[in-house]
Amino acid sequence: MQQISSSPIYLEFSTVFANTKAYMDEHNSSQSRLTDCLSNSHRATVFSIVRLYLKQLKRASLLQPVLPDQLPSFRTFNISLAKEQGCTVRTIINHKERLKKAGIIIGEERRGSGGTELWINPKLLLGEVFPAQKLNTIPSISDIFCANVKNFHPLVHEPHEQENANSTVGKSISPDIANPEDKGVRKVADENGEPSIATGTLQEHHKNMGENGKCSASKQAISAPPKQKHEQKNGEEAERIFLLSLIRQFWQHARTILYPDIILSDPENNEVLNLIWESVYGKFRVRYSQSQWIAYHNTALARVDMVKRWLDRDVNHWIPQKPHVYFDPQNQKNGFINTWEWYVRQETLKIEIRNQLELEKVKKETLTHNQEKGRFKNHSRLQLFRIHEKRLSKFKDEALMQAYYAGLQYSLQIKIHSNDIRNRKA
Amino acid sequence: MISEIGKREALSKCIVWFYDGNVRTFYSLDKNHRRAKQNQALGIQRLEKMLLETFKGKWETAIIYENKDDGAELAKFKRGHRI
Repeated sequence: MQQISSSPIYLEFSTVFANTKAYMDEHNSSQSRLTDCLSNSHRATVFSIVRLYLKQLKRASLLQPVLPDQLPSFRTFNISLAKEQGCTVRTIINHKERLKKAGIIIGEERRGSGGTELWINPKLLLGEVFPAQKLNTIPSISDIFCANVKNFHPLVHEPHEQENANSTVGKSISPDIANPEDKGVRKVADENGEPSIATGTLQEHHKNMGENGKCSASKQAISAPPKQKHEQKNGEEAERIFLLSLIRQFWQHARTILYPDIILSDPENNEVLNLIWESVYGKFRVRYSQSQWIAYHNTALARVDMVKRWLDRDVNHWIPQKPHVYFDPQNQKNGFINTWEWYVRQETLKIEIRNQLELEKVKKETLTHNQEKGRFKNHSRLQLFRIHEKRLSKFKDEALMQAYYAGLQYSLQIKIHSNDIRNRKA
Repeated sequence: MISEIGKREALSKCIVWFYDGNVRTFYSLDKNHRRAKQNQALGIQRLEKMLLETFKGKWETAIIYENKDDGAELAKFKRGHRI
């Protein structure tokens, strides 16, 4: 029996798998009955357990060097192993029983909702005969690392690594030359306290579905810096408050203008606010910036003013007396949502009138220019055209520009035609 | 007629003082359908509708309260008007 050194161990996947395979082959060869041998499915379960255990050890070694005489237990869930193997939980339980008989698993402790703790035969990991340890002398992984980690989650199924986690390729594993005993041990942090090595393994997150997918996502969320998370939360909260303030402002405005005498209790008031949130602001589903929301809010206020003008115009005009009816998103007949069409129509009309006025102005200026009058009398026709074009393009209205060009062409054609007639007469 | 369970689960109640001297308590029905989430505003609106339409001209005072011990007053009506 070899003397076990107390220096930190360095475990390689390939060595451990070779040891495991050799152990199982030896076990099978020593069995007289075929039914006592470990089948391929048992082997698959063993490899899966060993692989996950090595990953757990690798993570643990980042926090504290793992000593061979203090190998921690492997924490997992039966359901995770079952999912990874594509079998039922019962199969995993049966496999574990067989592996216990074979001596691959030397101990098991159930932790209820915390999963199960397995003690793997150190011979598989170290490739040597490990001195027999009593189960209670082997420390639990949570006992070892609870001082460093607040919540050490039991390992659940994760997708296969795309590369060897122990490989030095692309990672700054730095065997300490000054201290050869630390060979292969990953350094936890550099002098500045920053992690000096890349310890993650590439994983196929897009293939990580179901229960374990959630787990992986939650791990990613946990790994986000707490300060950044806090800031993000604050930002979301501020945005929410801002949007709620828009609804309240709107209701205050609408109440003052449309329902000045109404008396509402708190639940009714909240109901109306909810309806406004749904019907006027569309539950804020559209991802607008704050300035865009303010612009939309102003249009909503303008719609309320529009309704008020419409009510004042005729005694027969009316809106529902109850605001919860008026702001109901289902109320297509006489609800507030119909005012959007009014607003669009009104705005379109405004733009058309503005365009007409601008074109009239241009026409007038052109006529006065032709008569060599007005303020543009000293400009050439091309200069006048440029001035008009520049002025109209400021409105950024394609229809206006098209109307302008069409009018210009028409006037030119008339001019050419009249010149032709004059020439013929001459 | 509302059941005892309905009375217990109602979020608001309305006490009505009729002109003929009767005083009765009505409990709100706060759901659109049996499995719907309770909506207190809906219950209040229904009670208000009952007062202003069903019992129009028959009552002098009506007060809507929260249906719990020391429930707050939510709405008060006097002679056909909310005050």
